[in-house]
Amino acid sequence: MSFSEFISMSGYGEFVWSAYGFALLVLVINVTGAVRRLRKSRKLDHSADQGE
Amino acid sequence: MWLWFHKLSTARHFYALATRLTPWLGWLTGLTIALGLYLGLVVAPIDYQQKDAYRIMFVHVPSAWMSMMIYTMMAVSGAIGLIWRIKLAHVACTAAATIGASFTLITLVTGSIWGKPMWGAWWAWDARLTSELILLFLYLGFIALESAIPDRTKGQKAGAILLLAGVVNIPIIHYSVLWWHTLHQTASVSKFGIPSIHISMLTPLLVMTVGFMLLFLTILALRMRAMILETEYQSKWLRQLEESG
Repeated sequence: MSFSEFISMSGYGEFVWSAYGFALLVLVINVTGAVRRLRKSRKLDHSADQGE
Repeated sequence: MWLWFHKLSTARHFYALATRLTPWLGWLTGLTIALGLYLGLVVAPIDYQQKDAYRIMFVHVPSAWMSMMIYTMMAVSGAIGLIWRIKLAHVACTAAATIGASFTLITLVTGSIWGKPMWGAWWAWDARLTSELILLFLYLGFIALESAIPDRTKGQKAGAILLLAGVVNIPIIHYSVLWWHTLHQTASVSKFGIPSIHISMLTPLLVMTVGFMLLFLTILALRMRAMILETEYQSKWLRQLEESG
């Protein structure tokens, strides 16, 4: 199987890759959102310390 | 008073455990999904009817399972929170909601993308599609309800009640393909009896499911830690834990 064959997905490439791409996008947003929220809440903890 | 200590200690132990587990969960998630993608996109043979379009299934089916599993977990967690008044159970519900809604959205969108070349339509008012769409509305309703009520405890209670009322939709989704015989195909993987799917296609499906479960646990741990920090950042135990680690 060549690389272009792999990309074309027997003619269904646009459907297969858009489905995988959409899933990847949504899941990546979930992970980055969770990481960012945790970082922010950790800063909240430190700013509470400094305020004392 | 004892109950209060109990709650606090649960949150404390959970936070410490989740902090230690998160990096391991993250790496395991990455490896499992990478293996699942390799098996599903490269190793699994082409389908004689659907050609390569069937490979959408390796994302679609695990997402659908996750969408139902997370909802069920949230309903159970909500019930535990209501009955035993365990704060952490409500935190788990709130933290899981957006991930559950995300998997439901992925199920609907990937199904739609598959449906266009296979059924000739992006959408049909088929029983399974409709009940899965209702599941998305239940997730969104839960998120909206919780954020609309200013009092946290009241919001969590109302949310848990909504989750329990909506749990009736889960068996409807599962049996919809048998009860109504509309467009969506019936299950190919059954715990009871022999699955009507070849092992080379079943393996990537199961690996992707495990990968999605691990991903869910990773995000859940991250979000629950953030929520605990947000609500209890003034607590002594947390500051001690952060300083030592």
